[in-house]
Amino acid sequence: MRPVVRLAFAALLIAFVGSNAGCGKPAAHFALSNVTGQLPPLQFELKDTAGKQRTAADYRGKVVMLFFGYTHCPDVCPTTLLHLAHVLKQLGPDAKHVAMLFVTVDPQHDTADKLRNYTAVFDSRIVGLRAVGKPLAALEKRYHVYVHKVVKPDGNYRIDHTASIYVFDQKGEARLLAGGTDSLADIAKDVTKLVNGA
Amino acid sequence: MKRTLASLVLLVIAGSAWAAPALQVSGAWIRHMPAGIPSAGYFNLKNEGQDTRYLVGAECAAFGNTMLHRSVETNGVSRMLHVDAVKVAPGGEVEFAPGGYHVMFMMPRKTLKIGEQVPVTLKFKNGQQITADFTVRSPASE
Repeated sequence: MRPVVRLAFAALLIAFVGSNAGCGKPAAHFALSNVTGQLPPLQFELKDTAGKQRTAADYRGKVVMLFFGYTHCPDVCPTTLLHLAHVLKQLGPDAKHVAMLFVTVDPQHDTADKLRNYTAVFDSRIVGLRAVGKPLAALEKRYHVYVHKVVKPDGNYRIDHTASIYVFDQKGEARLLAGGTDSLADIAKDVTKLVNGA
Repeated sequence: MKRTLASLVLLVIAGSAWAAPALQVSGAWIRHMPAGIPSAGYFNLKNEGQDTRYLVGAECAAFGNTMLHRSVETNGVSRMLHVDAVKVAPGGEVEFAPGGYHVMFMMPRKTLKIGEQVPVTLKFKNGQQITADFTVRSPASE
């Protein structure tokens, strides 16, 4: 898909899920965007930084927070990772029921070592995942993740990418979408609700 | 208080002794990152002078390449925009902060230590240059 089309698609996704106040289970109220029934269940084939193949099945029984970025990203990615490290702290003992999965959108550059060192700066419980080629493209497509690399004449590059955090419940169902304007407290509160079976 | 004073760098325009200190940089810091990974720097820039100033670049001996950038998030997509000039109106201020304006430090020449002071030179359109110490901070302390 052309970048513009993909961006429009991403915008549509946000607009769509943003307007969707409450379908699915009627009980729980969330501060984050409720995407229950709007996105497909968790599915991926990626490698962790130890080189082990990982799939969604490995994280069944946990609330999964899936997000995208790259180590060469100096501002937004560290801010997101930091945010999530604080969420883990706020969750306290509940954190062991949560998996935070950071998928690199720059796998050619982000080797397993680089990725591991990077996530460890923020919290060693954040899992770095990578894949080159098809598995990554499939994941990006599945969740309408916008990724657009801009290479400058001097060889430097930046990668525009979806900064949202996708939250899945213990069964792998897509439930919530957290964005840049959501507070740490709201994210922690909503994730706690999911941990407690909301 | 001591910290605030230490991080407040008062700058006087060289050669114009009668002018009040016009540009002030405060709260400057760089995020500590693992070896080989680019970082970002943040600060507050105040213009207490009479003239509009434009920040057009930055330089730091510890990094091979330094650029002014701005992160923007629209419809859930985060973008990093290259910034040619940041305008600071008389009496105005600009905040360089995570998720917005930042100095991107690339190609690190050495691994910085947490707590270390790194001199960074900010360059303005009128030729003025200001060197301020940026404190290297652990991401965990943010």
